Amino acid sequence: MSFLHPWMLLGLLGVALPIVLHLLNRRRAVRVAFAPMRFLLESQKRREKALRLKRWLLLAFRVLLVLLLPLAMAQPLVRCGGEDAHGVGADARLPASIVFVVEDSPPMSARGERVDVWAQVTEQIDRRTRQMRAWDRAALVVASHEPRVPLREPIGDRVALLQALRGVAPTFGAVDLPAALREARALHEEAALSTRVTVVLVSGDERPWRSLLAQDEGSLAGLGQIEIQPLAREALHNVSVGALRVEPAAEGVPGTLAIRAPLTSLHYPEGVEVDVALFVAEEQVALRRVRVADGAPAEAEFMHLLEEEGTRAMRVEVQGVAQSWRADDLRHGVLQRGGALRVLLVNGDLRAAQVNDELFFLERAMDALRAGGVDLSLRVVTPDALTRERLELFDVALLANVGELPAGVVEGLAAWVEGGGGLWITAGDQIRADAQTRAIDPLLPRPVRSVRRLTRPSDPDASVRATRPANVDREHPVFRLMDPRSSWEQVEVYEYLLLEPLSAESRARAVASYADGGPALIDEPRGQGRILLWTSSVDADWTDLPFRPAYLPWIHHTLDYLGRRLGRSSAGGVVGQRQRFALDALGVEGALEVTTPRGERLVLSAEEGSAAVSFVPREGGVYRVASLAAGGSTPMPALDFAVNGPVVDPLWVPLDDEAMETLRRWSGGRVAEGAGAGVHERNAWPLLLFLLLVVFYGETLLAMRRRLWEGLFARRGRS
Amino acid sequence: MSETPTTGAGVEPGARFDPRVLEALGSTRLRALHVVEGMIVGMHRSPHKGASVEFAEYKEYQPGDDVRSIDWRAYARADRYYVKQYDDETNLRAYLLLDISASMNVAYGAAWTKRAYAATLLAAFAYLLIRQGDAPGLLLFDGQPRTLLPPSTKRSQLEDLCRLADEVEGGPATDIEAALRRIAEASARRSLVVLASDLLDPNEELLTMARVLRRRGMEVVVFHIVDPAEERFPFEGMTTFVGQEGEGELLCEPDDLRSAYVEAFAAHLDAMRTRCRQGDLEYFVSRTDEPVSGPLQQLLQGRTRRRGRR
Repeated sequence: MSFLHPWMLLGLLGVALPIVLHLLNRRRAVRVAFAPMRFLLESQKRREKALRLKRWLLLAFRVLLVLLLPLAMAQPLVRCGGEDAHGVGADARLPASIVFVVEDSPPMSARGERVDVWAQVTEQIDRRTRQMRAWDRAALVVASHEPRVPLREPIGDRVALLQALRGVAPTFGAVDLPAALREARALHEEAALSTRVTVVLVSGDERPWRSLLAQDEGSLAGLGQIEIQPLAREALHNVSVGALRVEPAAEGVPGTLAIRAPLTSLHYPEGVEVDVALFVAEEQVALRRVRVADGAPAEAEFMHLLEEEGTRAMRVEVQGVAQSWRADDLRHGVLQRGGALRVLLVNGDLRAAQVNDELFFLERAMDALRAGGVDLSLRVVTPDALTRERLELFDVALLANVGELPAGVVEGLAAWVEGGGGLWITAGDQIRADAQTRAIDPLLPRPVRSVRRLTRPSDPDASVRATRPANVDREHPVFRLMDPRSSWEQVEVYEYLLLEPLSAESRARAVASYADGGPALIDEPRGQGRILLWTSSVDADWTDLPFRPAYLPWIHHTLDYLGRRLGRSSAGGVVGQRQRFALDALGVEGALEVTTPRGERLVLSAEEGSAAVSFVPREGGVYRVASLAAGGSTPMPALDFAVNGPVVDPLWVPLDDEAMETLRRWSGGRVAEGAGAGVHERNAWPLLLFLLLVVFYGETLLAMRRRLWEGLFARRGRS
Repeated sequence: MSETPTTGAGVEPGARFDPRVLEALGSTRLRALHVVEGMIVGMHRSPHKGASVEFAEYKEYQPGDDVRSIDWRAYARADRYYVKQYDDETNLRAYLLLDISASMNVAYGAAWTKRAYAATLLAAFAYLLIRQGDAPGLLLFDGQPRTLLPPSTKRSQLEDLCRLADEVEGGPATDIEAALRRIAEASARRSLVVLASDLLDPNEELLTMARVLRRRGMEVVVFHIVDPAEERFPFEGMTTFVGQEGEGELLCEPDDLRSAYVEAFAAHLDAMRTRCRQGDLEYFVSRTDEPVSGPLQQLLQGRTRRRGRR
């Protein structure tokens, strides 16, 4: 038994109060000289037994009053066990509305030798629904990052409810518990039944509750009796697979791919050995034994030879671990011969201090892209080393602030672009309008005329003096798939290259220009390839672009565009994040057909006036893409993509007693905690108050002045 | 006859009998005079009609005297009204027995004590007797007979009687039988015996002794003085009751004992009434919150009835 307001128990110290009052009354008794004592003594002798009984009863009642009052005020929560206690509406004969709120976060998928959290969910709901009466109604809310209600309305059919539950599985996303409870409240209101029971089945991780606990007690209003059932109170162990990296192997026969899967563990401080399997096209092709420990990330590396062109679905899966969360035990990917976008980065301003390096921000952005599933392979070189590179091995080359190039390299690059390569040139203080820079003129859409310096980043008035991209062609493939909220137009530019005017016959065009009229981004198709010139820097010397949310998607789409991979918003998807396709860039005239990992086919047709289609993947796995035209469906394997959960550090913080106490207080004791053992808590204060009233009436009847009785009966007689 | 008729003087006779008014008068004598005057104003005639032929003396007419007994000849001579007095009336001897034990001295917040009430009652009666030429006497008693004032018709008798009633201190016990025995020893003639007591400690000898007196041709009148608080037991809250005649103390909640006590006290009153009737005694219950004139009138009317019967 526990108490909602334990400090009220201090009132129990008053248990001696009736006795003290009695003794005080004795001391304060009035002395009366009385003549007919003989009759008084006789009366006292005659009534002695009855009086003694009455006195003891009075004392008992008064002591009980003093005991019951603080006990009731302290609001004791009594643990009840057994089927009856857990029965739905067992304490109420009126119809009950029961809403099951099920968390679907990764810890809910924890499975091991002694733990199977999700099986407990099914078991709990099955058991609770068996106790439903014909007039009860039940509903299900999945507390996901966006709450889902698999059934449209509360129903009395338990089989249908369990059927709906089978369609739910732990996912990767965060949990929005307040939103889920709002849904539960709405379902209760829809059921419009007198008794409400909300059963919250959670992993026991405190994090989903944080946002709720940050609110006020009103967040639990309208939920009736709330039963919180943490399905695991002990630390849940886990080994998770991070974002896969697929790169052409540096060694071996051509077509060999190196697949790297980072591994992290949770609650394995001593380390654990796990088996990591690689499946390609649903066939296990490799197995590695890796030791991983908390704080010491490990990596499983596989080499796989793709003998044929095209794509293959693959997944890396953790096996043979005592306990782990199934939701992040595996990651999906797509193997494509030559599939990775091969990018060559030429650093024109190499610095000893990393933060000043020209590629400092760019490399980190690319790491983030790779972590998000974008299939990139990178190679960073200096301008001098370009002579040794085989350009045909790359899809995209970036000349970042490169002012000088060795002889012959410019020609090589120009030929490579003509052959289909994508060249990206960004400016910087190494590019000057002098003779040396003329060396790269053949690669520029237009020759450099001068550098326009508006301000410096260190200038306090930089944001006033800086210019911003003003005229942006939102229909250009680089910008079309960018989220308008990324606010590329807000980027501040302090310096940029001024070019010679574009001639009418030039194929180059300004995709974006600055507010002061200067060119920002110039795109020039050349032969089979294209050149893109960003007239400001790719680091933070000439612009604050690296600090803007637009930086990452801009780099992503620019690389995709130059590597001719554009058409899909991202190479790898995340569950719950919208995937976009630009049909015109893909050359698709009809619609796209996407086949989900479960085999469902989604037809994505562009709306009138738009060439973009999108959808939100709800499950992890490999999605196949095909174009739909009058002639039928044509697979587009290059667009196949894998969807995984977001890569997050697996964490599990147990819901502590203090949080439970807060929840109990907010709900006025209606929150009970059950660990799936058929146990919950009930507030016993109504019973105590009832007893208190009974005792109070008893005490009043016993202590009531006889004269009052006589007066009462006399009045009745007269009436 | 109404007890509270309106007088020509504009005085409410009832107010004269109010115990609170009488208590304010201080001495028993004043109280007695006040009671009797008021009573006579209300009665207009004396209950005593002298029937003897043996003339004794003249007495100046007082309101209440029978106008038929006015001696018109004497009026013609002296131009004042005189009434003839006869031996039969002057020779009535009355013994007034006043209980002065400690139990009579409690008041429970009422206007006066039982003793004061009883003393006033007896003094008023004595005053009436003296006015009519009878001879009242007084015996004060507690555990034993204390002071005896022999009956006398002298004018100062009332003063002596009242002084004794006010001043003599009483003891803790009560012995009525001893008091009656003392009267039996003191008087051989036909007499009127008036006893005023709270009768809290009567013994069987009381009835025996009273019968002896009756056989001697004495009339015995008993005033049972009752304080209403003793009858209704109105006490509240934890109370320590202290016995007045050595019974000790009792701490109790009055509510617990009220019904049983009231029952016992009522039974006591019934028993006393029955015993007195059995012994051919005139018995009156006098409550100290009631006017003194009430029992006095009862006594006078009772005596008138008895004479009528004889």
